[in-house]
Amino acid sequence: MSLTPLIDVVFILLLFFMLASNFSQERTVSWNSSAESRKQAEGLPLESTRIYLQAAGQHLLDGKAMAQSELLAELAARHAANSLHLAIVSVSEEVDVQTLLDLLARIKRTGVEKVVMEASGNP
Amino acid sequence: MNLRAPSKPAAIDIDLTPLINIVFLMLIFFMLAGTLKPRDVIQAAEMEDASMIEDDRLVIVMTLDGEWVVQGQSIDRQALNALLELNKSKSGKVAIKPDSRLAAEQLLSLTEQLRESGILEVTLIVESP
Repeated sequence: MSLTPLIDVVFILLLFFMLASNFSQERTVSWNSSAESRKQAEGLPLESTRIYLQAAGQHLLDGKAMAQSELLAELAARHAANSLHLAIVSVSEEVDVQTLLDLLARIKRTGVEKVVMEASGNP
Repeated sequence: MNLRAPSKPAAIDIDLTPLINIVFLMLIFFMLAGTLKPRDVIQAAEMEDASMIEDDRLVIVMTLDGEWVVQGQSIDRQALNALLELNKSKSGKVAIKPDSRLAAEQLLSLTEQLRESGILEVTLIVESP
C-alpha cells in the first residue's frame, strides 16, 4: 500500500491552511486624543506639561531638545516629585503612528496618569 | 524436506485513489465556497499592554494613504457618517486600525471627526508584538 498520495494530500491541506490562516493577535487600546478630552483634562487641577514630538527620537520638553531616555527619566522624576499628572503630546507632521504609540506606552510606564494628544503646528 | 520459502501472506492492497479524489473535491469546494477573513492592506501598529478585542464595534481601517476602509470597502466622509448613524443603534463603539507608518496627524484628525460626530468612545486596534 503506497502512502505517497495520502501524504501529498495532507501536504496540500497543510499548505492551504498555513497560507490562509492568520495568527497575529489583535488587541485594543483606548484612545482619547481629541480637543474636547484635552480641554477637559486641562480644566482639571492637574500638573501638566507639554511634550513636542518632532520625529522619532526627537522631543522638546520646556523648549529643550531631549533624547527619549532623557525625556522619560525627566518625566519619571517629575512624576515622583508629584509635579506631573498630565502629559500633553504635541505631534508634528513627520511622526508616524508607530512612533507615537511607542512613546505613549513608555510615558505611561513612567507613572504619569493621563496622556492626551494634539496635532501641533511648529513649537 | 520442504525447500520452498514459506509463502508470504497476501499483501492487503487498498486503492487510495478514490479517497484522494474525494478529498481533493472537498478541498476545492471549501477553497471556492469558503470566505476567509479579508486581509487588511495595512501593516498594523504594535503596542504592548493592550487588552483583548471586543467584536461588536465598527472598525475603520486607515491605510497608508489615509484612506478609510470599512469591511473591505473604501469609504468617504459621507458614507462614514451614514455608517456611524447606523452603528449608533447597535453598540455605538468605534475602533480605528491604523497603518503603523501612517502620519499620526491623520489619525488624530479622524479621531477629531469622530468626536464631532458624537462618538465618544474610540479605541485603537494594534497587534501585540
